[in-house]
Amino acid sequence: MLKAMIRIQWKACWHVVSALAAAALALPIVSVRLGWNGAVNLPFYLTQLQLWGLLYPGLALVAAIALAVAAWISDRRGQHVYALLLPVPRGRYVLLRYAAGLAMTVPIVASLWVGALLATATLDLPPGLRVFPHAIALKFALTLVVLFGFAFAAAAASRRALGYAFRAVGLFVAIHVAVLLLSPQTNLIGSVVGVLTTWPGPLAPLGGRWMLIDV
Amino acid sequence: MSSVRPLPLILLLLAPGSRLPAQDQESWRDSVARLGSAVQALTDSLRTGDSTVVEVTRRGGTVLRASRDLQAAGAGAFDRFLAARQHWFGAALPSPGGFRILLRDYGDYGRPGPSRLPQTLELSGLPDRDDATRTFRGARQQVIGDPDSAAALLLFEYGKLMLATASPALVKWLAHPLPFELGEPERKLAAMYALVTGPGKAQRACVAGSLADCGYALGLGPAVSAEPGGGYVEFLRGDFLLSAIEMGGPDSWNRLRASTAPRIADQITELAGLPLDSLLAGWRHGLLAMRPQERPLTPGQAIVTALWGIILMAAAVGASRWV
Repeated sequence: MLKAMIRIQWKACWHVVSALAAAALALPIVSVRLGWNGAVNLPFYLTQLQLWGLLYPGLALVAAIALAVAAWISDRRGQHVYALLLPVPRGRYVLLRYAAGLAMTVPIVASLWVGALLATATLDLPPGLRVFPHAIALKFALTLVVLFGFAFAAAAASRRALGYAFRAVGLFVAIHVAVLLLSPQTNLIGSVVGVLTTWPGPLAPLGGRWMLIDV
Repeated sequence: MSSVRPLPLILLLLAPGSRLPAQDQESWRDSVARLGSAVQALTDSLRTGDSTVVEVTRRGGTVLRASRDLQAAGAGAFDRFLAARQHWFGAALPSPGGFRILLRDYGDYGRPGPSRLPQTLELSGLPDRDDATRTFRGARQQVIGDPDSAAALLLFEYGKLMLATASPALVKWLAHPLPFELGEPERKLAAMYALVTGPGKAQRACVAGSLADCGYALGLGPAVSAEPGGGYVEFLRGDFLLSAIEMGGPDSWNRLRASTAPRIADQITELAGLPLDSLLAGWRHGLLAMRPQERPLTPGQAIVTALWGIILMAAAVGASRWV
């Protein structure tokens, strides 16, 4: 059944996957080749490369949302009637959708890996600089998996679950404002964001160094 | 004709008379000096060319004057400059007569819209006499209109004036002005990249820990191996000198000027009051410590991220109760 699910998923979103794969292939090549003028101004070049590195988590976020929406768009249109009619437990159906969605990330990650290898293959780098195509591709893959998990959970959630989630977020924001008025130094949202984005938080892979070439 | 009539004339000619004021050479000299000062003042005023240049602030024998539009930036730059000058040069001055640094933006004419008048930022070290060292430089309005960049530019020009008082051998070794145009973090970062990416054998050995090769690569000593390759770019020499000044303290520059050692390495040693090996070790260690330690991904981070993927998958299953 997984193969059938993957085939259906591919038919539904192959154009989205192709576009994202093309972007993933081009990103390392453009970031490395643009501005490379030999080793003339390395600090400036590496600073530019660091800025280009911000596009990796950005691409992962866009890909995650696009694939998660694509995974559930047909079910949402049909109000999940098709899924509920299948002789498959709901949990298993969701897992199959998840696995099919994960399978769609494989071409994107593979394209980025190939792009990173191509970008660094023919560069005449001075000694002291190292390249990290495999580490960048792996980090991109794991970031994409985490973000896809978030987006998939949001896309798969029922209206009731989404309603609970929005109410919980609204309540937290209200508590944050109340606490802020009582104690301006206390920043609850900042604390939560900090927990999520520092290791071992789930959003920590988005940060850190995304340098394909580094000292 | 009376013989007495030419007599008064002869007596007058022969009588010793006092010198006229116009015949006094000292007064001529003083007149020339006054005329020279007036010409210099006129030249300065022509260079300034802006009647809105007024004194903004003064402290410790240093005066800042600026055009109207630059007065706020100038006041901010002044404090930063004084702190930086004290840090790098202590109480040393470019000359006993003082100094003057003139930064000028040439304005904006001929474009659509109102023209922008030239703006001037002028820093003077008293007494600012005729023998004061002076420098004049054009700069973009964005540079002299920002306190940080204006202070960096003032310090850069001041460094040039100070470097002119160092030994010719040191100036030749440096080859460029002291690298004050970059902020310290940017300068250190650029120096770290230049140190780490040096391709020559001696440069690689310096990164690996050979201080003798560091000395060779900086042009301070002989090669210690066969085919050592080239040396580091001159920018690193400037960074090394600044590092030695920092290690030597505020009186370093005076010690450098007082040094009579012929070798650059000995001059720098006297400047800092430390052996060359210690200077090289401290400089190298400081730069290598700036290398980024973080790598894109560690095994632990990969495992934690994969676990989060599983948790989120379980959350998706739990949230998908559509009925």
